[in-house]
Amino acid sequence: MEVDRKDGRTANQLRPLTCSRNVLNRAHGSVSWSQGETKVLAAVYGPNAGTKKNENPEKACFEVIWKPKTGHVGKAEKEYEMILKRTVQSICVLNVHPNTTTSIIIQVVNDDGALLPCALNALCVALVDAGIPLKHLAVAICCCLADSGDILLDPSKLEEQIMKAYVYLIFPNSTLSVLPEESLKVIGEPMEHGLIASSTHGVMSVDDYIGCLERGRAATAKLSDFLRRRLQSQFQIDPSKLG
Amino acid sequence: MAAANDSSDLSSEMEVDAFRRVVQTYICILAAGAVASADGSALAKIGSTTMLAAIKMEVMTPTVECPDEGSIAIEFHMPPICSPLVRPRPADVASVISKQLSDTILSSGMIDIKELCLVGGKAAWMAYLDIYCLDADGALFDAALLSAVAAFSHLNIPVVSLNDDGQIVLVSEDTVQLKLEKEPVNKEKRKLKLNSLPFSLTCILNKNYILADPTAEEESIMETVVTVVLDSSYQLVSLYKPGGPVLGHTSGIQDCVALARHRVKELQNVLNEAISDMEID
Repeated sequence: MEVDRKDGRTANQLRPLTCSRNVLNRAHGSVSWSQGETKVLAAVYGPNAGTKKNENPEKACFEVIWKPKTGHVGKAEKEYEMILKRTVQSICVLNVHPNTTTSIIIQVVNDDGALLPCALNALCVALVDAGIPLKHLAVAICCCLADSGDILLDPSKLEEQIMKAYVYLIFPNSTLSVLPEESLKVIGEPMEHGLIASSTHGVMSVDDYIGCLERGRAATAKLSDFLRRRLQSQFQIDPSKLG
Repeated sequence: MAAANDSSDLSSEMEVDAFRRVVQTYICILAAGAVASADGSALAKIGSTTMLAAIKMEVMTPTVECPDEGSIAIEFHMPPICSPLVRPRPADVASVISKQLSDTILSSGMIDIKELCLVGGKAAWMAYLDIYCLDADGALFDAALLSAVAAFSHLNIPVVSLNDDGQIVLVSEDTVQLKLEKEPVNKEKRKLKLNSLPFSLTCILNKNYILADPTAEEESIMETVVTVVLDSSYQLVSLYKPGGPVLGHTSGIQDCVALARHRVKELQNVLNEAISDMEID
């Protein structure tokens, strides 16, 4: 099905991704991530001593602060903070640094659609940059459903507003094992087929939603590759700089 | 429980556990002016979770971009009475549920906001929906959505008329007897026309089981929660899974949706009963 998108992309094509690590001096980990025109700056400070009230002191605590580009912090920002916090809690190893608080700050530089997925991708790279122990990474993608029933990936803000419905999906990063046998041996469903988080806007049929899940999953393989390449190349350069 | 079981055994166990929970939950709605001074209200109780929804209508001037549309403002409050964990400072949970509710209600297409228009470009209705949690015992979003839907079903739009200054005034019950200078603007439209109503089900995902409609104790132990909102034609209005250690596989998600379908039928019956009780009064 040929779909006419304003910027000439195909239905399955993601916007150009750029990622620069270690952009901020004071932060322990930072990244500037952009998908097309949507740009997000993520910084990680931590682990700092002490947990907040009502948090379990035997585990590491995470707090996410979301700063919109303009305006006051409202309910939408609180919702994003909660989704990101719970996702981070599920991907990080919480037992390594008990009784500590890690702060993650997300600053929206420009919002041109698919803001939450962009922020989550930035957040993962920032966590790696800061050296926070993680079980696996998470990749996020936005799928939208047109009135004709076509599923488009990574919409811009204009596309999000005219579409019937859109979904933000967060999947775990695909596993790449050193031992080739491990990759083949899969019990039950492979881990990357799981869904960490999902947030939908608009009405769609259940089958359309499952279709979005499938498309999103397939596309996250590309994102995972991009992340891996980005994170690997940095490590190869650094040792030579240390001399 | 062993990890590798017959998938058929597990799925039948899953069904039994989940259905038991759905059936055992006691639902009761008391609609019909739980709040006499509000234009529409409902008290919904699912298990022990109690929500009170009230709607007040006010006339306002519509915006320039949408001159023939009214608007709805939805606010969810968690006063300290609902749970020992909530202090007077607004809880974060309240903001998130408030946003979820307004997203769901506005995107489900239940209410056509063009219907809230009175005089194009000059006057339109602003509906303030406030939902108060009186008892927080898990699955807050479900009860809140149910009370909101019931309140809108019960809503009686007040009668207004245009007076000489071109202002919209409320026509009170006494003046109806006297001769009116102008005809009421909306004498015929006292009830809001509702399209497909959304109903929701919250489930907890465990590695092998799905627990539908959790209580607060269960929610505090398991961290992975999925909320499925379906409307009366079984279209998916929202599937909300805000992260959590357990991953949602397609089979698990489809089971949750199937459970939600059952729930939609049950809740529709309860709502219809409550509305017909109200109309008899």
